Amino acid sequence: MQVPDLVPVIPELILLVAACAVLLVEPFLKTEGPGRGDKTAVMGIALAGLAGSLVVSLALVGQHRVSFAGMLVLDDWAVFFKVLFAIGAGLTILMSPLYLEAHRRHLGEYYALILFAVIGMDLMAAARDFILLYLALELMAISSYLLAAFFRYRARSNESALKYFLTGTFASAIMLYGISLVYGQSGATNYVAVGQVLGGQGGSVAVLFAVFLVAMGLAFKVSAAPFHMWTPDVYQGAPTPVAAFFSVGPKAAAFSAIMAAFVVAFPGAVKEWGLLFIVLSIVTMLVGNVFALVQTNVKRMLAYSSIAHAGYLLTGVGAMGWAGNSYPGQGVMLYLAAYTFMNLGAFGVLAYLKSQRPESFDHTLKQMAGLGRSSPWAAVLLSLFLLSLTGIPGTAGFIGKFYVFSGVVWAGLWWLAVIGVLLSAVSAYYYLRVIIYMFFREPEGEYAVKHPISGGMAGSLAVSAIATLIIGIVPSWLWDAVGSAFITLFR
Amino acid sequence: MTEKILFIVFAALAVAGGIGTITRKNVVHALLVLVFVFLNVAAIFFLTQAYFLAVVQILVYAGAIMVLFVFVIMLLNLRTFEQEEQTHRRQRWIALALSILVLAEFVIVLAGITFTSARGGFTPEVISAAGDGTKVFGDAFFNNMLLPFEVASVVLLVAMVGAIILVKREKTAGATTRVWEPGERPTPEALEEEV
Repeated sequence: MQVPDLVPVIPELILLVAACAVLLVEPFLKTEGPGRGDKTAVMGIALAGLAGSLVVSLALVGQHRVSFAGMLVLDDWAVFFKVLFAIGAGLTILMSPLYLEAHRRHLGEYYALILFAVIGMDLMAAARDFILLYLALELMAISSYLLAAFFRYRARSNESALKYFLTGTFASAIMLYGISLVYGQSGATNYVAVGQVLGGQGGSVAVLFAVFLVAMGLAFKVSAAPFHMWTPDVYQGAPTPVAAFFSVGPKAAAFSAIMAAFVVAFPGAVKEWGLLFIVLSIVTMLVGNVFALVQTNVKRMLAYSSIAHAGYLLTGVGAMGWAGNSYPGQGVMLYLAAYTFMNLGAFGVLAYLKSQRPESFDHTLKQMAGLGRSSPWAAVLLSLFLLSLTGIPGTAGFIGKFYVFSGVVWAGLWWLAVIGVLLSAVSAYYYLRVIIYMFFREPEGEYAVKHPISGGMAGSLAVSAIATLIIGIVPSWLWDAVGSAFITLFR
Repeated sequence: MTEKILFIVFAALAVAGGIGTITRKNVVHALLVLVFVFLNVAAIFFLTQAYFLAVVQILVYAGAIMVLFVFVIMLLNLRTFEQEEQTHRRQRWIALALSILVLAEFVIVLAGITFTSARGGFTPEVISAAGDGTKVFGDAFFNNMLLPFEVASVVLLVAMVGAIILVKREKTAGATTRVWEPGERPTPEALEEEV
């Protein structure tokens, strides 16, 4: 037996060590009553682990290593997602302590679970084998269920975790069944080996059935309609920073897995899975935008908006398959990066507001009224993130949508891009409504915030805002990085 | 031929047991039927010469996991599933119709597939040349499949950590923490509370 090349998994090993250190250190910290206390030490360990993973990932740029018998590949593609996940998780951790303190449930396990989820997401992006993909997905999913259930004394949190768990395991089982059909027909689980066997068969019914089942499992994770039912309830019931994390991390991981697995493993059926994702994207954009229109709860509105954004992203994936070319996928990658920052920021502001008034704030539009005067910074930042989510030029959201839709047009699906643009114009209504409430409506009662934005929350929101603006104003460096990362997928 | 008949017998018994498991009202009865299902599945593994899997199926599932289930039920003193009032009566028929539709789809598609014997690295010839199935299994498990094996161990670690944070009773200091005892219902305010 030869020793496997461990270099490709160093970022994950660092995260694993950090997560275990968090679990070991936490019992020795002083507590001030249940669920309270100074958790700076464990937070520091978690952030250090993420930073270490980020730095090592960046140091591995340009390498191409195949390890564990072709099960895992380290290339710029994997590095791109590892960096993205580390940043997303870091921002989530920074915005968490204030919120968890306010809810009297500040436990070290929270940080460990986020790190475990990041390990799963990293492996999903780097996996080139269905078995590893499935296990990584489960690692991410189980950590997510637990994070959703973190406020176990709250009925909403319990409800959200149960819904997430039951529907999630069901989706995993369906995907696993699809993988077993893939194995039955190809005798392999490695993407490349599967592609070699199935590529010649074209789109036979059996292959299409397997592709459909695997796609269903992953579509659940990106909350594409009609597999989106869990999303609003889970985002509403989960702790807000966790909802922020769910809306960017697992979604990006599932998109990376869809692109890597489907392009390489099912080359004979590209047209068919492309069409499947195009149909999914249209339904998803419609459902997300239409239901977001009628929400009065901002957190729930953001949940539906994240469904709509999954729809925009899916148009790119669909175009990839339809054109039989990977070019539209670059836009999807760029959108994922842009989306990470703007959506984390939007949820972050909500987490800040909730932490200021844990008893009374219920995320309704009414309570956002007058925020422009009582907390101008929060209002300005939330406006920026919402404008970016709308896709106003000068923000990251515009650049993301521009590249995704231009990829879709390039693939000859101009009508799909038209649908996407029209529906994102619709989305302006529910995003701008929040801004109007914040600046132009008189508050019904006195809602004073206790503390200005400070500490980790300030850092997290500042990074998100600056990144949103930088990507929006000078996107070329990111586009180049995405381009060079994307081609390594097909080497 | 004998193998085919045995397979059909065991498969039919396993399916019957599965139906029995989900229809029993008494939890302990349901569990005993579930053990029966596991034994039948183990027998199917034996028939396909997957001896290691068959033994693991009996040891882990029929043995360890079932004992754990029985212990949990004993500790919770749970005898029968509570008869919840049916709130989704109308949905039940739609669900049934859709399930039958999906089942029909599965059967039609899968009946159309001809799985031409095993392919890839684990054909019967390869396995018999390398010794027996267990040896091949072990080789694959700790060489090519090493990484998934390790990831699975992390998954189990997360599951354990999760079980602890979900059920650990907190020391209550003051009236700030609400602890719901089993059977106690949360207040309507708590149900509506936003997180």
